[in-house]
Amino acid sequence: MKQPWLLNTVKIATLFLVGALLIGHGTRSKTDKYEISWHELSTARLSFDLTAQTPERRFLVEVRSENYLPPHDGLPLWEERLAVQGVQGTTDPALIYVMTNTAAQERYHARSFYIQHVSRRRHYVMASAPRPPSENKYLPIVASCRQKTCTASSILTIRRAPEVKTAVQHISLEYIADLMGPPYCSNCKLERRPRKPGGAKISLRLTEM
Amino acid sequence: MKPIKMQEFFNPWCLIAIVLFSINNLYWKLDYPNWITGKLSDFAVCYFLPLYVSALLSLVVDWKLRQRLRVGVMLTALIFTLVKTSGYMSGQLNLLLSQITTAFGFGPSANIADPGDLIALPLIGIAYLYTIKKMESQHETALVVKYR
Repeated sequence: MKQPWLLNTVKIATLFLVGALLIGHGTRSKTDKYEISWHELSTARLSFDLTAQTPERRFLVEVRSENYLPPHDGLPLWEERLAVQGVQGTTDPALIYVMTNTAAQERYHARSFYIQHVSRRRHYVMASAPRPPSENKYLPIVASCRQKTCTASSILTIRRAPEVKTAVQHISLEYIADLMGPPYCSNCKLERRPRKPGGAKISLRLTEM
Repeated sequence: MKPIKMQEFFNPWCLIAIVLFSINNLYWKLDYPNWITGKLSDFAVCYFLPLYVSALLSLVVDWKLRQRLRVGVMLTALIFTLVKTSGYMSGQLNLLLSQITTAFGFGPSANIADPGDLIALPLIGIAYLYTIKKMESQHETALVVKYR
């Protein structure tokens, strides 16, 4: 070739492009909304990456069911579908990072993306968190029972402490569920578990990172 | 100016693998989420990454093709195995990549540790053997032409 510099430039540019492709291939688009289901493990926790919802802040939300202690002799069945749906799952039974994917939401569930983590008895509870207000003081979370035909839901409005300024803060929040407690809604007649006095309690810990 | 060769990277099979990798990640995985699309990118990356590493090395070191390819093979096999078998390593990779992607306004990286993806590892060896064989045959042809 008479102009080797041109060919060289094209080759170097191609290398750069492929490099960018490798770096960005797992990138998930930002999230407007997500729905999460969690398992009936008493120690199960889910971590939600809310980066997209709060671009300037990063939250780690841990959800743990406390009062229901269903026996569970196995690890959560984190499935390949997690990967397929654009979710980062770890094999650690205690902690699952969830990164939602707008594209996946639209393609799979028409605006509602969720991890369908089905327990052995195919009962699961879903929670979704719409985009918080711009002030970011409240984080509404909608928890819904998905037991067969049950449509009960409860909206939690969690107030984020306004004084939180530092890089890492822990806010402990407790919620006494009136309508539901993981994994079963009180409206559900089927396989409803006896509730402990005080109702089902879900603890959410928001960690600002 | 001396032309850059990188013949191991700029060959049809490698470029096909890159195109498949791109299309699969951008479209097919989302449109057709199944086992095949889940693994296709792994197969593709296992094929072209050693060649890519080798091509990059050719810019900075004066090694022979075989040496560069071996480094590419080892690096690819090591990284791929680690991030596919260890949630921790996968998380670390995501952390690193996310810093770059978010700096450019994209979302965080979300690679997944899935030991099942190791099924694609043989492609690394195939890429190595095929490239070596092809390069050697090209070299022989060139010699024949030269000494005719």
